[in-house]
Amino acid sequence: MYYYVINPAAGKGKINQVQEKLRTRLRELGIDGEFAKTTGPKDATKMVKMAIEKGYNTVVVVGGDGTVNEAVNGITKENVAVGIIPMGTSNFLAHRLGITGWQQACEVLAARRISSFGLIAAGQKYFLSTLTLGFETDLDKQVETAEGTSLTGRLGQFWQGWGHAQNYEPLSCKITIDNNLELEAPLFSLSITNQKFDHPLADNRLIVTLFDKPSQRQLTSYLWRVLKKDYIEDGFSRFGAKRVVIETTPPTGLMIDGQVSSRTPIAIRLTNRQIRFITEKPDTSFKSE
Amino acid sequence: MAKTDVFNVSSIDTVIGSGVKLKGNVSSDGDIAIDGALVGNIKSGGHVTIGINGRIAGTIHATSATIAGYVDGNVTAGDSVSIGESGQVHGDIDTGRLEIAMGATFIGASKMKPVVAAEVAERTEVSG
Repeated sequence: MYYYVINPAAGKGKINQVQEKLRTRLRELGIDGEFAKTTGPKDATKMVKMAIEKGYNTVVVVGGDGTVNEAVNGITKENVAVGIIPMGTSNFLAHRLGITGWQQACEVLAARRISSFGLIAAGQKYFLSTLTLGFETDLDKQVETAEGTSLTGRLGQFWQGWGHAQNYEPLSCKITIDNNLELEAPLFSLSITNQKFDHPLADNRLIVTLFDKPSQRQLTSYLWRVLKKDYIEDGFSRFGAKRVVIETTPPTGLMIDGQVSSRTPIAIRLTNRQIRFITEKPDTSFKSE
Repeated sequence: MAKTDVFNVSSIDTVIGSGVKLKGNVSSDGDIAIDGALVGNIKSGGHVTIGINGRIAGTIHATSATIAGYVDGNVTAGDSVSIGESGQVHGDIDTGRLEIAMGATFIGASKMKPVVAAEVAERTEVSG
C-alpha cells in the first residue's frame, strides 16, 4: 500500500494545480493509496512514522527537498521504500535519482526499481545525496535559484552570479579524512556526495570534490550549471572517504540536499542506515519488486 | 575520471590538485594523481601519477607510476615506473620496467626483475 505525503505549500502550491490529474494517473497505474497533507514544519516526519506503524511499506513524498528530508527522518524500518513526486522549489534529490517531473515520477513509481542509499550524518543532521559549501552555497543565499524561472530571470541570476564570483574570496580549508589524512587548501567550493548516486553498482562512499576558482572562460558554464542545480563533479581534487571533518576560515554555511543548513566546522560520516528509494536510473543492479 | 565499468566500480580515482597540502597516508584501490604536496606514503592498486607540481615526501607503492614532479622516497611498482623530463626521484626504485627521460633526475638504486624470454618476444612483436 502506498502512503502519499503531500506538502500543499511546496513549490508555491504547485500541487493544487495538478492534484486531480495526479490522482487519476496514479489510479490508472494501480498505485493509488492514502493521501495526507502536511500542515507545518516536521509534519512529514511524524506522518511517515505513523504510516509505518499502520503497516504502509511505501511512502511517496509529493513535495521538494525539504519535505523529502523530513520524511526520510521518519523512516523507522529498513523495508520501507521511498518514492518522490517532485513538486518543490528545489528538487535536487529527485533529480539525482533521475526523476524530473510529476508525470514521469508516476511511471517511475509504477516501475518500482529500488536502490538503497546510505544515510550520511552531518553533525546532528542527516542527508542522502549532496552537501556543498563555499561559493555555490553563498550564491544560493544571494540569488533566488528556484526551478521554473524564466529565461529572462535566469539571465538576471547569471549576471548576479557573475558579479558575485568576481568578488568571492576563496576560503582557507582544512579537512581531516578518515582520521589519518590531513588536507589543507584554498577553496572556492566543495561538494560531498554518495558515490552511489553516480555509480549505482558501487558501494555507499563519500566522494569529496574540491573546486578551484574557475577561469573567466570556465565561469560561464560553471555558473549555468550551479544555477540549474546540476551536480558538478569535475573539480581539481577528488577523493573517497568514510568520514571527514571540515574546518574553514572564516566559518561558512553548508547546503544539504538543496537546503541551507548548518555551518563549519562539521564532521560528516557515512552511517550504517540505508534508505530504499524508488529510482528512475535504468541500471541492471536495480531490482524490480 | 571515475571508473564506471562493472568490474571496478568501487575504485573511484583519487585526484589531488596543485595548491593542496596533504599530511598522512593516501591509499586507494584505484588510480591516484597528485599535483600538490604530500608528506606521507602513497599506496595504490592502480597507476600513480605525480604531476609537474607534485612534491612527495614518502614512499610510493603501486602497479605503475609516472613521475613528472619531485619524490623523496622509495618507489615500488610491479609493472613499470616512468620518470619524465621534469621528474626527480631521490630514493630507490623497485619495478619491472624503468623509463628515465632525458633531463630527469634519479638519485638512488634501481632493482628490476629479470625479463623472461616470452615477454621479450612479446615486446619485440608489439614494437615491430
